[in-house]
Amino acid sequence: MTLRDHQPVVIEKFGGLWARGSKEEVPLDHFQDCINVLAGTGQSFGTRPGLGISQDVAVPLSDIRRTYNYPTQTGNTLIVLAYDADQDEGSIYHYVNETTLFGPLLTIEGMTDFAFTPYAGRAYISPFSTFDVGGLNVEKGLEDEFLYVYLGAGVAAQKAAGIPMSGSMTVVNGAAGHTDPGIHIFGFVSETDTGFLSEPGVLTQFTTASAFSVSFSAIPTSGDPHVVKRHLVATKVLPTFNGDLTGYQFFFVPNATINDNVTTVLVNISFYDADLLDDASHLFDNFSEIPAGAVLTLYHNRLVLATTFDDISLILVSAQGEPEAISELDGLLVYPPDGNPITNAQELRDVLYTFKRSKTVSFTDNGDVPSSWPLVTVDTGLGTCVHGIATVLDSGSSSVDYLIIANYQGISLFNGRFISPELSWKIEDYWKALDRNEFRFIQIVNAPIQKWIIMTLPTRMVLVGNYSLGMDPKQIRWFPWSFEIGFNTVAIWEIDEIILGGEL
Amino acid sequence: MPSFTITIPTVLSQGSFTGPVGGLYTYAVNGGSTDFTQFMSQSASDWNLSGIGHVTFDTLPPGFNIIAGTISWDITVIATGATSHFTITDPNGNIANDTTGLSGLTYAPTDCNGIFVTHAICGNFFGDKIEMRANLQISGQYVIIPPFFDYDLEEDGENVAVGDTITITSGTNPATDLNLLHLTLSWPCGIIVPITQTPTLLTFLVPESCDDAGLMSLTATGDGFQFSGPVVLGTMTVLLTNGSGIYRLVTGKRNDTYYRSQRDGTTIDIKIPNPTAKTGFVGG
Repeated sequence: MTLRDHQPVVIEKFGGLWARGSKEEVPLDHFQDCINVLAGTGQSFGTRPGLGISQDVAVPLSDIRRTYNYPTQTGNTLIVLAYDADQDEGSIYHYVNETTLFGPLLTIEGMTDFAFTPYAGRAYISPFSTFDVGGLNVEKGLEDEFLYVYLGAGVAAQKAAGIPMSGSMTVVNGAAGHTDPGIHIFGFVSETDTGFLSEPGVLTQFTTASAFSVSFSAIPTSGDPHVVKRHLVATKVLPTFNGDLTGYQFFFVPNATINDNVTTVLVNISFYDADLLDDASHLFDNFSEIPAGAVLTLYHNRLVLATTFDDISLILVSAQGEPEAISELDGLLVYPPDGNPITNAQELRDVLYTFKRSKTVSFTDNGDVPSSWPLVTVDTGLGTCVHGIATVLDSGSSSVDYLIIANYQGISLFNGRFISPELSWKIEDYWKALDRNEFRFIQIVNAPIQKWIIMTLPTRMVLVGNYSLGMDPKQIRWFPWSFEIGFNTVAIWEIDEIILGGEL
Repeated sequence: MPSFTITIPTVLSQGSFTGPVGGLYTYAVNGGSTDFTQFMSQSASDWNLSGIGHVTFDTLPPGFNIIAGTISWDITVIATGATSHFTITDPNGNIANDTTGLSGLTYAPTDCNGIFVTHAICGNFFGDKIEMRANLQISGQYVIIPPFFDYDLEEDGENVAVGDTITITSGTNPATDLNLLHLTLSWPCGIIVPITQTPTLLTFLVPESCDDAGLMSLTATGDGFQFSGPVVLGTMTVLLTNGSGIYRLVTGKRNDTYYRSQRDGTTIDIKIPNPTAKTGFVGG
């Protein structure tokens, strides 16, 4: 064949990295190797975008281990973990904007990572770390640590839930009024600034008289500085009293709230037993301190926490609308133990999907207590890692009627089942060369404005999937990026600004 | 290229040049009045010693490789009863005659073997005696062939960062091993302050000023004990030490901007690392 006979090869589009099979199998319109390039919305490609700084302050944060989107009442912000390896100490900050940073909100020894979920403008924070269990890296809550809540205004995070009030008080008949005469047990429930209602405390037996109201004095204040209210609770008339102050059903007494943590008297409270409608008995069963876990999410307006230090197969589910009220009796879901920890949980289409590294099961709210929710096994081969479910935009949540999930197979769409072939089919060899034991470094966001899936990798590089030509395994275009530092975490801020956090 | 001055004394003696060439780099200059004594064996004739006065520089200090320079000499003729003439010829055929005092010829960079000194001594009568005293000097440029001096530079050719410890080790043979106690280290990005400096061990920390300095040559300057002038010991790439922090991707930005390690709010721009794409095999 002469040169005259040569037919030029025209490549009109570029499909990104192809890392599947031998190099001879790489299609002409794909790259057998590429770094730091990116396709645009069309068929061309160029150099990736450059990095700019996100903090215009004298001492910017360093050693960033984790960032999450934190939507507050007033705007979209970030919650950030900086980890000091020399001190083995993690500190959490609230990044408001380029020039405003609150914190540290919380500093805990050994906190190499944290789980997070926003709720009503508050940030729920659960410190966790990675533990070597027989050579396998396991992420679970820190020992003797707890769930924390941050109110969003720069004040340090506080322990979620709270201990009951203690001590004693004086109960006497008050001014003329009305009660059902007989033995009652009175007590107080403290309420924190996050709305958490403690277990009833200061329980005191008193026999009421029908023509009188009831007055309380020497009421203890709570030792918890976050208590902002104290509510009177009472039993109905007890025909007999066996001496067990906690063995009866308690109700909130209407119009009997002290709106501070200072006042020690509450006088002339009249009520009939028929007015006692709002049950407070369940408060006895709640955790006063919620153990830290590696997983936090929301489901049906309930807080879901999983993988505590002591039980890697346990899921704690709060009462609806009360994220810190988790019953120790019936707020529990048990994932069938198999030695592997629960790694993630996410609501999709009214179902709570929970994941281990290679297993997926679902729970469905049946309107009863969580411990009665039915479990359905979804997949016994595929699961995900602790940050392996993509969040969408700056919402801090994951669902757009489907999930994008990273697991050992690749990056998959999930709509109740893992869709095959996976989105990362074209780069299967690249993906499977990643260190499975370091999958905790994978964090994914879905940026629909850019039409990118962007994630950090165990190699601390960044992988971008451009789906502007279609969200399917053939059309998505993959591009690995490298930087002078390693990136651990990615988030989206202000709709479409991609934030990367890194350390050495 | 470092410059140098080395003085190599050569003592003329009958029939040949001998001298204490070798060893260290500095020598006594004068050979003494009996350095060269020749009694005339013929009358009224020149005595040509051409060819036997081959001064070699093979015994230059170890590791030195002369690449250019000037050979100069300082010959004193002490004639008693005779007239002395002499000729010095360099390898290029350049000749100097009867020159006393410091003078020189360009040293041939292509020949390190030395020069020829030809003596023509004119005597008036039998028994005349001539005494000559000669000092030869080489001045010019040299390189030290690093492998000749044994030393081990940790991280040579590797990536380092601020705070990393660089270690240089050497042996104890003065002829072949660098004596590290007589070195001053430097590189373009900052002052190097040794932590440890003994004849066989020298350590220092990469200073803050070198953060992200890129490819750096580590230079040692001798204090004249073994050699004088600077010589490159090795190279290292000094990377960004701690550019960690929170960043954003900026569409259209053609470089990466990082926080500097000092965490003082200053930043550094670095090119995007080698954007590359390699297509599949055409025709494959």
